[in-house]
Amino acid sequence: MASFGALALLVVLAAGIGSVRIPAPEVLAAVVRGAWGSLAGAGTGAQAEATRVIDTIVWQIRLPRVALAALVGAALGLAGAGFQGVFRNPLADPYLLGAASGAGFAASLAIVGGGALGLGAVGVPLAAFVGATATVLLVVALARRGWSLPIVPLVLAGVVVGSCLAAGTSFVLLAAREQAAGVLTWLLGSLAFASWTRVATLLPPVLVAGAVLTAAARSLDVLQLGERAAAQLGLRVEALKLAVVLAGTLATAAAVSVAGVIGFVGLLVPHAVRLALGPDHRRLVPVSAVWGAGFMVLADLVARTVIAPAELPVGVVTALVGAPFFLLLLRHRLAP
Amino acid sequence: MSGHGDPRGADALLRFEGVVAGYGRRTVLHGVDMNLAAGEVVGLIGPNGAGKSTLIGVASRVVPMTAGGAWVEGRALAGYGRRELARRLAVVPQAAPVPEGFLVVEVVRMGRTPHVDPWRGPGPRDEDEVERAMRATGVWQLAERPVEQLSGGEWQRVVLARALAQRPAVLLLDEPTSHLDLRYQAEVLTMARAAAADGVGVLLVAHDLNLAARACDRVMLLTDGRVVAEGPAARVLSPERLGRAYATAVDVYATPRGPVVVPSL
Repeated sequence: MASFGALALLVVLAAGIGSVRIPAPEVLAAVVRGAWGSLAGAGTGAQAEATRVIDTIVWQIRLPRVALAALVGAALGLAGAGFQGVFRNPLADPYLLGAASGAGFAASLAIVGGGALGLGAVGVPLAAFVGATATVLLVVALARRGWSLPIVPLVLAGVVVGSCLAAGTSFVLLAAREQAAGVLTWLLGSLAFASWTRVATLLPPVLVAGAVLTAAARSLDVLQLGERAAAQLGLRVEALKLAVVLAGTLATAAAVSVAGVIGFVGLLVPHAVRLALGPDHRRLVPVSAVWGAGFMVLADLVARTVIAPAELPVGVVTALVGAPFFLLLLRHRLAP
Repeated sequence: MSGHGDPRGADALLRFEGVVAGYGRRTVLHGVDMNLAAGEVVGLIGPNGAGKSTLIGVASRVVPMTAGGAWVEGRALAGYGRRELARRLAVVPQAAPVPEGFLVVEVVRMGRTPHVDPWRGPGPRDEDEVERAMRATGVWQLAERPVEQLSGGEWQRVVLARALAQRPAVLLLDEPTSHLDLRYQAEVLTMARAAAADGVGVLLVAHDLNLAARACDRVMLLTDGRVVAEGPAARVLSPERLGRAYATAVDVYATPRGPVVVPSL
């Protein structure tokens, strides 16, 4: 609850910061007006005009972006919590099974050759989503033994397939030099193309993943005793692993498709939550979503303000903030 | 109670007939017959690789059986659902991984998993069972300790408490005393005996033949995936038989409290 309150505050503050600064009370007022369906439309005079400008900035520019950042962060936080639970390893992240490299390869192809296919604006996100899910499904198919999904072959297949696709992306970058900058920008992640449509596209996958992982939370706790022990306690371990991997992949693929490859969030956030609140997945799963949302809103705020009017790729910010923070956590953890 | 039961195992909690099992193409058990009755402690002994842990894996259905039959409380093992089986049969594994960050009471509560409604979570009855199991194993005062702070002996007792919280009819212990010092060995085996006194059938995999001889009503000697001898320790633990099974010369000293085995160096 406290986390939720902090996130709401953060959203309001972040929506006020940008090339035009809007104080928090006025952001709130605009949010309330919008929610009540009475955005300042008519009316004359300077006062009405100013209100109209604020409403437009808040509702058309800032809020979709902040909301998208929050959802992307929530998706990656959820997926990270799920993957770390299934792999029983705090170093697992949502890209472990090749979702990022699959999305990257497909998106780079779409950016370079997209015009030819005539898919327009939908092309790149769609390609990225399909690329990410197809890659993970391929990895799962390669690693499975009958109905079981052994973890070590799964991780190995993820690493191998991921490296192949990353090499493919490098090749595309070299082969299409004039479009390389566009591809690179996408690969590093950006929320600059935020819109309410993208928010609406991302919301259902995040809700589905959240529901699956919340339902699996108690079982994920038991899984930490080891797969064999969990089976001997009556869990259907293979079904659990598959459900969590698929739910996490759905959220990850959806997030990557609207925002590009944003690193470190899915690794760092669940890890930080575990250190702060313990390993209980009934807390870990929802709080990772909320903290992930908050972390992304902050990272995007930094990305779009520090070198304004230009923007940093948000993936660069998460890595720059995330890596040292992660080292700090590790030091704290390894300290006697 | 002695519970040696009828050799056909009609009253057996756990019964194997001609069980063949292994991993992939490697067959480990080549036709094992055995039975375990309520209230008895049976020791499963034999050299490394004889198939002792595999046998426990088959009984708990984490290792598939390729031929033969297995029954729990008279019903075919294959007919049980996972949760249903876990309500009747609990395993204390060898070297259980320590789930970092969880508290002792949380780990013991996980033993209630097969009884707990996954949507509602544990109720007061489950909490009673958790407390009972923790008191029986002497870990009640460690309830709020993170498990990674426990000593090896304490952790082993927590794992035993988790298995007791399952309220099983059959308890399978896979070398529960390895890496434990004498006091903890004695404690864990006393707890196994106490469970048997409550009517649980206990199968104890033991490397330490002397402990097995002390703690068990009878022992089964497993060699190369077959039961080669079965009965009271004083009869099974003969120098010839052990020499053959372990491929090394051993001396067996008969004492008033049972046989004592040492390798002849």
